[in-house]
Amino acid sequence: MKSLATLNNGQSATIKSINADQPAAPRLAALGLLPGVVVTVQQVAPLGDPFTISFGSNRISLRKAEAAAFSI
Amino acid sequence: MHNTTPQSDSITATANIALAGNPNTGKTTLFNKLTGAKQRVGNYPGVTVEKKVGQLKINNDTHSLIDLPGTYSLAAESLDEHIVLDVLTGNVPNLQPLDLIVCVVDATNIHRNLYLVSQIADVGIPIVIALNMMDEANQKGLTIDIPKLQKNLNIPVIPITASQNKGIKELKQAIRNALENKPKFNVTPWPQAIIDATQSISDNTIKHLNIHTTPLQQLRLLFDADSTIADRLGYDTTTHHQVIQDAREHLKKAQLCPAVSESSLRYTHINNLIKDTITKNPKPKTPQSDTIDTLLTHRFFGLIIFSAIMATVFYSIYALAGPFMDFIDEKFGAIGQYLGDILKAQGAPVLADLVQNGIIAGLGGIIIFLPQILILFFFIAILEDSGYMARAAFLMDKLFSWCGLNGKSFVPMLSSYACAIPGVMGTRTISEPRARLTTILIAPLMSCSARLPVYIIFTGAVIQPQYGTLVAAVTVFAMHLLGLFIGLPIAFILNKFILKTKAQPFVLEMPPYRIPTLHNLAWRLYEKGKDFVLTAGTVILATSVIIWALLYFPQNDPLSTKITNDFNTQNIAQIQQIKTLNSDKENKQALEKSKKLKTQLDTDLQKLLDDAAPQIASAQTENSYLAKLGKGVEPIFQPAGFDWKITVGILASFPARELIVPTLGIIYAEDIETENGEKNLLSKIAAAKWTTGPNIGKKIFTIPVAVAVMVFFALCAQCMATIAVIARETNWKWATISFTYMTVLAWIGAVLTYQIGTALFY
Repeated sequence: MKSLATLNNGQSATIKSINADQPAAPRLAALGLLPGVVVTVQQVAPLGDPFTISFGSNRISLRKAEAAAFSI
Repeated sequence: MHNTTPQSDSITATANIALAGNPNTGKTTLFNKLTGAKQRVGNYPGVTVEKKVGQLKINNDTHSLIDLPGTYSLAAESLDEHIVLDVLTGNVPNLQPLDLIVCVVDATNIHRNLYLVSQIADVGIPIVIALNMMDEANQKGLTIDIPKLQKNLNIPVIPITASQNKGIKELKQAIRNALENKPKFNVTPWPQAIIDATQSISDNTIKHLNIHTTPLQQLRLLFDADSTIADRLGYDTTTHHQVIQDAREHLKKAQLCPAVSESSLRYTHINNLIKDTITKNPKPKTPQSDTIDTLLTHRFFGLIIFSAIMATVFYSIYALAGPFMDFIDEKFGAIGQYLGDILKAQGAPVLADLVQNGIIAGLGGIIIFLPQILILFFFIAILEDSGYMARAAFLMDKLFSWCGLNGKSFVPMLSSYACAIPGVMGTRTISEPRARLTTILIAPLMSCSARLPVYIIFTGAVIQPQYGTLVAAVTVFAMHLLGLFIGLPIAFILNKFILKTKAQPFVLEMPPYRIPTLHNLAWRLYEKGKDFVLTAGTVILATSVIIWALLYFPQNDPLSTKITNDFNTQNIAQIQQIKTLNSDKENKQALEKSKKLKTQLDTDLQKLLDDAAPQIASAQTENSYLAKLGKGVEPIFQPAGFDWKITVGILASFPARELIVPTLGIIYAEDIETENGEKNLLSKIAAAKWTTGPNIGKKIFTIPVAVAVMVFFALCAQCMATIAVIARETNWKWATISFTYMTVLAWIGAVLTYQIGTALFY
């Protein structure tokens, strides 16, 4: 299964599952990043990391390491 | 008001109300509107770093209103979140139980904001929702069915636009009513597994600790693996983990994941609550923020714009503050002179000197930094309020990730460029305690505005005359980068080998771009200015007086004694004559003549002394206690090429770096002959020569020495106020460590600079 970290700038996907062992996963889940949510990559930082995603009315920056906990 | 019964007045008169909400929802603006207090407002997640209390007046009642730091969740990780949880669970000494919580909800993101509200509702305290930023919701084409939302949530929802003062009156009325009606939020219906799990926690806590827990405490213990509630209750780690494991068995059986089940269940409930209450106009044009972001966080242009913004900020500080500083310098000089002359005329020379060179010079030494500090805070305020600061953290994250920090350390570090004190305090938003400690330890290495005068004086005296303005500006800029370049590897070493910090995740909300309001900017500048003058000011003033005393005493010097003795020897005949004339007390004519002669002699001597005043002042300085101290310490700084005068400057500026300037002003006295007769400090420093030692007659401030002095000041911890704040935010152990390592680092930096510079170029 692919992870959220593999999305390129401008691409969208639906979250399928969360690997709860990743330390930042509960924090992102509390912001509403949950299975069934559609995510779009908005920006990628100059060195490829972190990147900004949008879902619902949220705009959140996170690193690819954290995004890897979310399967799409 | 007049129709209320006295009884209800007594109930509501001193209610304790808290203001809670997500970061960036205009909570602080609302707090200011409700209380009239002026608090810092920023468009950066986590600007409220301490809980603040104000008075909320509704009709004739005065309530106390606590502004809590913004949080997304009660799963407390950062210090800010702990503060919120502690206030909500009543774990704060001397805090009355809360009567009501006003939850600020961003109308453009009701869905996510209700998550915190639903968690807070577990406390069981009445809640009122202030639905803020209605103007932005309207612009986005959102229509919110308030009556329906109110009905679904079962609590009052008051639409407001705090920044425009809209809905504040209605909100106050709703607060007043809610204190009587006590509306309760429609809480999340938990599945049986979670009810069983919390019951198990409740039973076990009674069993182990004999404490009855509240539903909020049980839920937090269940969902947050390392909840602070456990510490607060007094659980030891082993029992705590056993209790949680037992409780989570119930979740496992029901196939609920402990880490995300809370979020899933709460959001399912929230979706039901807000269903059919929000409609969006079907014209999804790109929001303005998206367009701006495409440019500002662009891989290439984003960095160029970032560099341009930073360059503008530093250039402005360098260029704009100058005239104001000269003005302040001149005026304080004039005031000191004026008061000194008056006191001298009154026959109080010591007091005159204390007032002129101790107190007024000290006050001037504080006020002179206001222009720089205000200019820097002006820019930081604009960057924060506009929402750019979060983008800067996004762009800069990679810079911090390799050393174990994240982009969140960027704001405290950038603030430290103004002053390490707000920087150190701003680290409270960093969730991991060790990452926070690392940031606190390296933040004072960032080049604060107090170092700027040192750079300006030495580049102005030594580098500019030789290499021109551009090289001087580049030098000043390089000095500003030095602390960052040295600080990051230090952070890496601290995180990796000493504190063993775990890698810091980076999750940061990108707030929408907003236009900063003048009102907010003005108040922030006022508050910053006041803070600086009061906190740093008192330390600096007290120190200036001490330094003055160490420089003023003992009040005798070889030069004036020699001049007086020589004069007396030359005029021995006249002195003898005066004695003879005085011997006959009856001869009025003789006495008259003696008096005349004496006056003549006194005037002549005074003229001689006045003519030699600069040399005397210099000799006096060289004979002072401070100079003796400086000469004692000189050998330590010899490898850096510093003479005893610079050493005295370093000693004198121990409490605050900026003190180096007035101190050098005093010790590089006016005996130094400048080429064009200029008398200001710049030309004095440029012309200063060695009077002893192997380099006698050569200039003291060669390029390597001047740069070494700047490097020393860039890296040293010469600021008592910062050390005190570090001690307050951590403890004295870390404050001592910080001072020690920075001083050693500064010495090594200065010695290397001087030695390498001399070897290469001289």
